[in-house]
Amino acid sequence: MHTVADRLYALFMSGALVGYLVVALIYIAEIGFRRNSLIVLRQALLGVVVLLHFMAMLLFSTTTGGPLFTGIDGAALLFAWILALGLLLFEKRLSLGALGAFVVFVIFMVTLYAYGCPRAASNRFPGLESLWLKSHVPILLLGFVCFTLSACAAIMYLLKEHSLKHKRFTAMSRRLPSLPTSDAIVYYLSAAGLSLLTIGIMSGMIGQHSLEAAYNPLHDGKVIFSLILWCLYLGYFLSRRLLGWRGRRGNLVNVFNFFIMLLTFFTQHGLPESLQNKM
Amino acid sequence: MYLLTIGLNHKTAPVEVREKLNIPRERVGEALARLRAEVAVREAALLSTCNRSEMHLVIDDWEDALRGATAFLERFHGCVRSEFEKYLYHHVDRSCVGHLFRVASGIDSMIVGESQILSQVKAAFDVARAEQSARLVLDELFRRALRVGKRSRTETDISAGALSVGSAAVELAKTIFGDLDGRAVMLLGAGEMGELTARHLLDNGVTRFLVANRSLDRATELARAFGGEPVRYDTYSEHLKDVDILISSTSAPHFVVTRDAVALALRKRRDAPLFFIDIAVPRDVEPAVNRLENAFVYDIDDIQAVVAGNRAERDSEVSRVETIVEREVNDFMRWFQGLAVRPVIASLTSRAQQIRDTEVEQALRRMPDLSQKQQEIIRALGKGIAQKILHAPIVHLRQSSESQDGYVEVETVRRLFNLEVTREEENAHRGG
Repeated sequence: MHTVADRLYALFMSGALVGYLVVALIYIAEIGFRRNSLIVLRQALLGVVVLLHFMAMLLFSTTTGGPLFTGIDGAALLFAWILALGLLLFEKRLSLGALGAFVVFVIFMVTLYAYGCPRAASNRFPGLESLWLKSHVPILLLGFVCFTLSACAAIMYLLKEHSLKHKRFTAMSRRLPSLPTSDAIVYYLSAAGLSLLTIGIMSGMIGQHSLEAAYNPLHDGKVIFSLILWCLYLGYFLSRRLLGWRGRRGNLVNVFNFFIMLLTFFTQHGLPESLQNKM
Repeated sequence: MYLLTIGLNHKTAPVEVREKLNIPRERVGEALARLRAEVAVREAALLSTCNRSEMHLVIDDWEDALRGATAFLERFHGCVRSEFEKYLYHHVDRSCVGHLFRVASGIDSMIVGESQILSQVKAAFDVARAEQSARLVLDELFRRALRVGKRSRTETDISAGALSVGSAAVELAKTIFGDLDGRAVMLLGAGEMGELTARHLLDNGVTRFLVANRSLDRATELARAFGGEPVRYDTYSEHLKDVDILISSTSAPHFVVTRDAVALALRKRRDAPLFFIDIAVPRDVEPAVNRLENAFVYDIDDIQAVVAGNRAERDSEVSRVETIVEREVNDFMRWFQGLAVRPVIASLTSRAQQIRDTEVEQALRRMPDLSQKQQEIIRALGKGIAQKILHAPIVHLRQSSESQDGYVEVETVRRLFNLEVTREEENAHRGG
């Protein structure tokens, strides 16, 4: 039997999903029709959608009775919301309109996943009363937000580079930022993401160890996945710093890392507890 | 009251006629003063550029004004009417508004979408205001024209994309590097086209300039002219790592810039992008260079294709600009036609008030015993009746002012109520 909170949650989530879809469509329309009214409408709508999303998260938290990120659905909801809030706050300041089109698409897909995820199957994490573990998940999510934005900028770089190499210019390729701008965004966001990932992994290991003295991180599936991801981003970072891997190669590596990040995010949150801790 | 534009432009007149009717910027004020002294105009503005000379006028009789303006041109420029009369065009009211909006938006220019015309329209407006010859109507018309010009350029791609080899090179460089501030360019071969392209880049923020030429003397001369550094031709590849853009325009019959040399330079640059503008025929840069990561090679055909694409894109944007122009013309015409209605409404209201006051006071004199309160009620009754009778015709007049044939309705109301609108009243309501 559905409670009022469940019904309201469904209502806010549906509103947020439709809103994200409309925002994405406005971004696409802006490529062809540059109108200030469209930009104002899009920003206002994104503001409303972020608010709806936030209300949905509050209701979600009320109905589950614990922190948001104790299951894959809640974590995905929070992840998408931070991404949307970041876009709302920084998109105008950075004047990177085209970036928004990519980011909103990712937000929409993640939110859709969170909404479609069956609650019964979602896995609630135990032991979140530890401060270390409480800070561990939000820090990791922030890191994942940085990686997502970085991958979006990398895709923009690759599209722009392709159009310049093949001398084919479209309305969309014209709106993309210059190569050094995209490249710098990719680099700095990846560096920020890597730092957050490092802190996140360490806080997770310390927190787990404080709960369980015999805890061995190398037997923890979550840690293994996170360490693989950490190595991949460190590899990107070092190749760029030491070998000067800029341009297509570096950005392809970044997009590849992003897919591994998505895999890490969804698999480790979706892993049965037995696998998470005893892999 | 009418709006009238008289003029000629690059589409109607050859350059020898246009130059005769051109008014230098410093003489526009004087020309305006003389025009207003010699021709019966309410307001006037003059737009004179290398491609057009136009008078924008607010007048009472457009046939008289047309004759007077043509005679003025003859006197002011000291030429014979037959030399220019056949090239003149004129636009009245709606057509005049549409014409000025098209001019401001750049779709009536020789190079579609060029932006200089907008500042020229603004300059014409500023002079007319300074001379106090742009008042209510032209003030509004030019403000809206400037708004149309800005809207066209921000809401459409009418001025997007470069239309010359030099500016296309700058546009491509900006696409690759973003800002050109602090970038370095090398000119390989001192051809005229290469020099022109380099000048475009230097005007857009490139700070370091190297010149390599077979003749070191010529390279030194050119470097001095641009504030750059000469480089020995056979050592150019050693400097490749230090520059971001290479303009190549040698007359060598073979490839001068090879894949191996560029690959080495890219490694030394730690893969920072390198842009090659090869305007030489035969080509100087080996095509395989474009296959290297972070190297972007554009030969003369590529750049001309970019220019052609930009031109086609601008042409395709004209219809979108026309939509903006059409909407703005409708808005302006509603405002303009509303001006014709205002004095008639004022006259109608004043007539009704006069009749009401006369009749009410006459009736009150016949009833001397009425108390103050009763007299107030009679006065309010008279006022209410007059207001209710006038309400429908006034609403109808306001609505009719928005239609094309609104003036017919205005004339009908004038005749029906026997209204005389004096010139003073009209001026007072039109701000003239």
